[in-house]
Amino acid sequence: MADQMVAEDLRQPSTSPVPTTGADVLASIRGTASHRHRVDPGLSGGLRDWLEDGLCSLSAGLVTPLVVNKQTLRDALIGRVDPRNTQATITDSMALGSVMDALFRQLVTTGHFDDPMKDGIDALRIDPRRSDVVDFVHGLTGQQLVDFQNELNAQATILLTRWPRLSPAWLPRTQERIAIPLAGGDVVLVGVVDLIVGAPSSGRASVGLIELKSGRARVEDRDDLRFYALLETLRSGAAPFRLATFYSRTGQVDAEDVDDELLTSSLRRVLTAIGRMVEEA
Amino acid sequence: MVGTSIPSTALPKAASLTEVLLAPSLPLVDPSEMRRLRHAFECELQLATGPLDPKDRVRVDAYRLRNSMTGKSEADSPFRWTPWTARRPIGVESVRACLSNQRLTPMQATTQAVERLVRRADDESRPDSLSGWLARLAIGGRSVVQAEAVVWATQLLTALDWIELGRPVVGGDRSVAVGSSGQFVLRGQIEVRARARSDDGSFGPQPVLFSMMTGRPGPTASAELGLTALTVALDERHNEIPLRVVGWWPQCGRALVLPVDAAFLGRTCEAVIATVRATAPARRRPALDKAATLEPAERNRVRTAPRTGRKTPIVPAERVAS
Repeated sequence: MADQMVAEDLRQPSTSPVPTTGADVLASIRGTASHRHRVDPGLSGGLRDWLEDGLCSLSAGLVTPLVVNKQTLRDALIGRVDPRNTQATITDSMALGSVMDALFRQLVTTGHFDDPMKDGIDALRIDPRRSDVVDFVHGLTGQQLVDFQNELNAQATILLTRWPRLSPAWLPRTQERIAIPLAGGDVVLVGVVDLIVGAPSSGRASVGLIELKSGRARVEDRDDLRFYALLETLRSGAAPFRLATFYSRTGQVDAEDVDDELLTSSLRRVLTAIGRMVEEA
Repeated sequence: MVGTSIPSTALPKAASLTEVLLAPSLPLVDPSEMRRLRHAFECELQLATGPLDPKDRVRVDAYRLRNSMTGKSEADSPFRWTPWTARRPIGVESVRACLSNQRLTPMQATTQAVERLVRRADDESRPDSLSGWLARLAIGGRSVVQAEAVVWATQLLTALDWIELGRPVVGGDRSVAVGSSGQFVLRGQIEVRARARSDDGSFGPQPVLFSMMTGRPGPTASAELGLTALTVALDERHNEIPLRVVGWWPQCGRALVLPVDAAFLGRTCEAVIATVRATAPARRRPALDKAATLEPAERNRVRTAPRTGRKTPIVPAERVAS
């Protein structure tokens, strides 16, 4: 696993990041072609069997179906299990993340956006499940609203100037959902990947997964993408070749190649987290 | 391969899916068997509801079937366009465009499809509902619709090996009205219709169906795919019984391959009748409620009764509508 380009020291984010160009970002997402490994035909099935074996001893105490996503994994691993699964209260940073996700989707799909606030909120407004974010932003007033708009405009500018235009031949698709049922459907691993590029594999790793983050770089960001890499491997039978996080706060990219070790460590993390969820339930 | 995923070791998956879709096979339902099944189905449908008000239509589609089978109460809200209901019609148009122009990608084709629809709303005094809805959306909202359609179109385009499919029909959903009054309308969702291969490798006469589903296979998956097969089998315009129906769940990478035989169609008929029974009681004329309480033995007698009296034809819904 070779780190091609790390945006910031993940433990101590830089306050004055080195600017990157669209070409740098593109190169970072692409990685090195020679690192695109041949698909191990037994890997996906092996990972699935490992998960199934691990879950058969855990699933007895489960309230089913147990839906596991990147957030519930994180929460379980830091001991923040919410059995009632209550909705988190919206904060400035969460709202900013949602609007930036919408703008990123629009940029990848249409190639442009004009008014970050308007376009972002219009995109969220069409989905009733995001009404809490829309209401939150509409409720901002005074300095809080000014700060929000300033940060949004700054990140939108970085996105527009640093994010490269991808070739449509890469088959970019945004917010693609992955849902992997396990243990006879009692456990479902789910993820929504901000951006997937590449045609499905025909023998060599061919897919890249990209996430957009509007906050500071955190170690857990990689765990999110590694979890998605595991889901993609289980879904398609082929591991992705590359994982990348684009930080709209700085315009930089954290990327890594995917190998067996990365997938198995992610798998262990999933089993550990589900184990804790069962203990807490 | 029945009711299983395609092997995860078989890559590309599109080749495996196409192979199982087109695989040669002898017909599993003969025409006389289909006629008997059709007649029994029509009788059962009438019994399930009794005579309906001539204005009433009972429509059974996958959504209604699923809700009925899972006991989920159906919100009586009218259909409305959302990014998730709009992605399929836009996606179908985009896939067709990509197949007729190899240089076009889903992203480009979807952009063109959305632009075309919005233009239509501008040009026509009474545009179709999708065009009108899209045209009214702000740019941000429209981008979500387009992005969803790109995902949908990419999933369908990458699901199959299109070169091997011969001359597939993309997005040929079927609606058939059952019974002389045409008051029962079945709707089957079909993403791709192709022809199965014969043993010599050429394309035979029998259709095979491919449906792209959402989420992950649930307990109603077989009935939902059965409805698709039944709708095609009952459509007298084409008079063809599908050989198999393949369901594909791109979100989880699973496929369900179902050969269409008489037992499968019979189970689907029962599921449809149960759905009609659950849907229609409110519309039924009170005096005829007794018909719905037939003992199983009597119902079986009806099911196997010889065809007598006036033929109750199954006619395409489009013809009824016109």
